[in-house]
Amino acid sequence: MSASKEHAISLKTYYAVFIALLVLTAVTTAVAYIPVSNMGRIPAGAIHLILALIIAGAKATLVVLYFMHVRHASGLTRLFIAASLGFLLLLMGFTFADVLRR
Amino acid sequence: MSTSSPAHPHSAAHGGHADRPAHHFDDLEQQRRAGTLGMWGFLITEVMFFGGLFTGYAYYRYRFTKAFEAASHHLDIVLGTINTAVLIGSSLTMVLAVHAAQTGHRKGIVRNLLLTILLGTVFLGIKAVEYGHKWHEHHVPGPHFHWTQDANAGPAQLFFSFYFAMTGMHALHMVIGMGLIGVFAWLAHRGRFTPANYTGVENLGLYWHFVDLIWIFLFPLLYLMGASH
Repeated sequence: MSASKEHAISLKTYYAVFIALLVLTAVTTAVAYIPVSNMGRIPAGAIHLILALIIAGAKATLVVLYFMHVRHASGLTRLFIAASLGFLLLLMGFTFADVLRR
Repeated sequence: MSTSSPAHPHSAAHGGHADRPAHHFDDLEQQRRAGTLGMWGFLITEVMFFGGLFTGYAYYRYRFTKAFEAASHHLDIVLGTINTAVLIGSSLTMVLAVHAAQTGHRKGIVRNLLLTILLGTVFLGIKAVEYGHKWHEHHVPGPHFHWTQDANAGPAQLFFSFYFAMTGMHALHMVIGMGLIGVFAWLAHRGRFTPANYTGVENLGLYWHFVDLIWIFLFPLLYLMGASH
């Protein structure tokens, strides 16, 4: 069957990803309540922001690779996705290169 | 489409069993790849659309850090966390629907799609409760906006503008998605999808997971930034 290679992802994997996403959700909420102090020039709020973005990035990666089947997607699809992330970085990068130096 | 061969008056393009590719594809595998790539092309425009909102939010959060953290403190973290779990659950039921389509379990597709709509409804219901709270607390941007610290009223109003714009656009995507899921549940019930040709369900799943992805970033950025204050 032509679509058979998509069967590579089993139900067990889907449930495992689901549990991992729930755990990461609990972790990100718990981490947000932990009081942290400023680390040198880095304010406490920025530390929370960075931790939250790392966890959100991990969750997003799980969703994209397993639920959205990118782990088994064609090279062209992966190139599309990588290009979109590249343009997103351009959008944010150039915006901040401007506003942070005003 | 006028391509149905006389032997098959109801071709893939007209519903029924869809084991044949549309006329401009060599085979179903090529059609599936093209369909999925096209869906990603659409989702990438969505990434850039929401990317603009996220960039704007990031700039003003940088510009008015304290006011944004104080305003974020007024969002309900318990409801936000529950909603995140509900949406992740709906992503699971969606991927189970796709799996059922891959393996040819027609009832499994319909059941999981309906569960996805149910969980989407729960999410929007909780969201409506939250919007109601904001309305009563006068935290909706506009002439009736009220903020206890007058000095930060402007930036706080800006935060809630982003809150309503981003969660509102997200909710709109969910409403559209739930309408589509309803149509696909009906098509699946009619036997439209087979293990050889279920690209429609796959792409519907991509859309729904994308909606989940947006929320995965919205939740910490909007709800959790003021938690430890």
